[in-house]
Amino acid sequence: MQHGLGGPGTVGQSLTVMLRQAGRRCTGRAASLIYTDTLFLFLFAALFVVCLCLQGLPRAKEWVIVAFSALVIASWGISSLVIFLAAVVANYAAALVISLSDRRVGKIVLVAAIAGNLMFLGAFKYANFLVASVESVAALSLPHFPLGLPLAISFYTFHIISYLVDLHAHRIAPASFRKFLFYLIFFPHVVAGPIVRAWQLVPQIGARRLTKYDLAFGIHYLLLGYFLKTIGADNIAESIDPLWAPAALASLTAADRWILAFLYYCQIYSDFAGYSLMALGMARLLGYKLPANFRSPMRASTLREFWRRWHITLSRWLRDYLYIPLGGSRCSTMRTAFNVFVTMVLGGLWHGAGWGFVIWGAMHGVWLALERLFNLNRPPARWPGWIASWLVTQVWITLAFVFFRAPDLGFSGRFVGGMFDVFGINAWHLQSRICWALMFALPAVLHHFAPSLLGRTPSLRFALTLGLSTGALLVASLVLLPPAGHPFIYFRF
Amino acid sequence: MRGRTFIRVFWASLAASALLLVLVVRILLMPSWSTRIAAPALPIPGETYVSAYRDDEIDHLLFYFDLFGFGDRIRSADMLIAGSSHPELALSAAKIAGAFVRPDNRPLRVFNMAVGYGESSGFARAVIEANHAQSSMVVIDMFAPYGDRISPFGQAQLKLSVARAYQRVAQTWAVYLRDRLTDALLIRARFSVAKGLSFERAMGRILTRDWQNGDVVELWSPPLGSRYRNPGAETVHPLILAAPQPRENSISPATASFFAERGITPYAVLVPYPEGDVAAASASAKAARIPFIEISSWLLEYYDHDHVSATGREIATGRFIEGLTKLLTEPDARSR
Repeated sequence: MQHGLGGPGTVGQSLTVMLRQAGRRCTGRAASLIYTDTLFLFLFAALFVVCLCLQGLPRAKEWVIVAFSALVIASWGISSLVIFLAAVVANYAAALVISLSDRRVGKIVLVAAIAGNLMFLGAFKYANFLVASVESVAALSLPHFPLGLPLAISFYTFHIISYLVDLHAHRIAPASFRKFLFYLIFFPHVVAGPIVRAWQLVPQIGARRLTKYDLAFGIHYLLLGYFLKTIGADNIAESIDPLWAPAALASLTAADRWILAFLYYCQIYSDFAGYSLMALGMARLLGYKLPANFRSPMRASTLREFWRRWHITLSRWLRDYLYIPLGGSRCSTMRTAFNVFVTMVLGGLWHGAGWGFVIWGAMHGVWLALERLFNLNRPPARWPGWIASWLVTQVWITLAFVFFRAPDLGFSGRFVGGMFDVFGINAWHLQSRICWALMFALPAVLHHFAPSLLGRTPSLRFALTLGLSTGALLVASLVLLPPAGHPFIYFRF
Repeated sequence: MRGRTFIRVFWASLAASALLLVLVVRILLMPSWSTRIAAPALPIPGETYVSAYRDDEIDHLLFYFDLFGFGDRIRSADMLIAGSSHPELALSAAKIAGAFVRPDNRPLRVFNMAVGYGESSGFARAVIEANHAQSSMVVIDMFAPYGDRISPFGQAQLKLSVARAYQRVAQTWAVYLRDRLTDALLIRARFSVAKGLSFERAMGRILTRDWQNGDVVELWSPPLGSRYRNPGAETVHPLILAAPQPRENSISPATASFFAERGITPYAVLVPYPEGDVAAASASAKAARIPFIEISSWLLEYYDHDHVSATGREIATGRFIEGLTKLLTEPDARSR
């Protein structure tokens, strides 16, 4: 008998498929702790309970959080943790010298420490990029930097620089080693931001207690971030990632390309804003407040406004520690425009060692400089002007994201060239894969209107809306199965 | 509004919306809910464990990296069963252990370390070497899609660090736990470009094995229910024979000398499968000077193409015990 439920090729096939898929998953990505992994969420739940029990012993609670954060970094490789701890110890020593010595010696130590940190970052992140660029131009064979990129180096380097500069400028008091370590290692922000200033986090260490509001907002942010990432970003990635391959380029019409670029805009927003919300939520649940990183960037009608809404903590860092030291806006209009441009190019380069990131930064820099030169950096007051300005700004941002996402410059050039081939045959035809992905862009777009809608509701209705949406997000997160194998985009930087 | 009222409204509305949504899901699924099969038995720590869940198989890691004491159990076993999912499902370590005694009259300790993914002697060697196992006997199934090499999946597993191995095992068990906790209340929905939106049960396929001896305890999948735990309820069929397919040799001279160096006596078997060639397997074992124990396919029950049912396991293990007894009691049977 070969029929019925137990017929050949049923369970056996399932077993075979199970094992084949297991192979694909296992070889697909390293077993690092990703914030959306079930294991991580269970571990975080355990940490939350422990921290709740240790409310009366803030020091003990913070050491537990430090140990947990070290575990998170070590899950990406012990070398990442060793390099991180080495940076912490070296920079704490530098901070001690800065705080104890006079202003002149302090300045020398500060400059040396910043140079050391930038060289450290440069060696790990940009040395091979530089070597490859020289090799491609000069047909030379140069030695390559042997070590891979340690986790979160771009982020903690910025944290350290801001701490040292603020300490030297007496904007903050020197922190104890425990507080300095906690400030840098705190896992919600260590991997991919938000870039927190010492004055924002250090005063909370050992002082702040968990409130009922923290619980409510923490859970809401955590679930909302999880939903945006796993259902929004991961499903968009699953649908459109194959289309960013050179082999698929020829099949893309002009409409495909525009929508694809917009979908990537939605993907990276869902991914990074989702991560940032999870970070905020986890921090709130442990009793700490981190600064927000996003505020509806798709509603920006100028590029200046965009950078006040997109990756807010990075743009503020660039403003305070790069743009202002370069002269900021206290000089001629031309020089100001130049400062803006340089800041954005370096900001682009900070994202990754690649020409695509440089061009992305340069495109933002050029537009911001033009806004400065022609005094266009304030949103138009009237509706028609606002809509035109919004449209042009958002199109430019979408276009720039092509260079951010594309595998190489040749691809970007061909991709952008095809975007303007609007009179070709089937130029407005859309692939079904892209139409499907548009459904998952909806959470990202809707999320842009949520804060302003919630902000206008009275307090009682606000609590009601927040509770209802959190309950719905909880059930949705349990029911909807996210596609596997899509770590956070900004974990790479 | 005061903070306390805000918090009360928040939690009350959160609970209400979550319950309402769960209720909606349950009402929508009412017709299918009543016909769905019972969930698999809960694994009992120290007795049974989840060895594969949904897309993740973890036996490679448990056995090779000596996680959770599996290395100890492998080290202390007198007989190891090695190979692919064929012997994993077809040979019962418990039954073999009950059939023989050691020279000191204590029961034989048998551990089934056969794993999926078409592993054969290559993975067995890696596990024995990593755990410094001193077993006196090893039973190797001659089905070997990768010859005596380790499968690509197995190679990827063995490259992980111990910490990463623990992490993967914990991740698999955490996903199982999550699904187990929500299975009674919810379903899962999956989006895919090819199939659109599809619904499935919260619990996925699960393979449970015995913590002490590695025997398969249960294979459960949402549409088909439990295998092995309730042998009488299984739908089965006899072996569907197909033309024998030439396979690479599972036991190379290097493998034979590996066992000889460690004083381990290897026994070769071939759990019957559609394209299995008993004559070729026997000749191959003979060439390597390894005794071959034939397991006849007569009246053997299968639940799919390649894997025997619970009753089939009883029969296959019985035939293996008979063959081994003959080898041990009739000295000339070894040379045949």
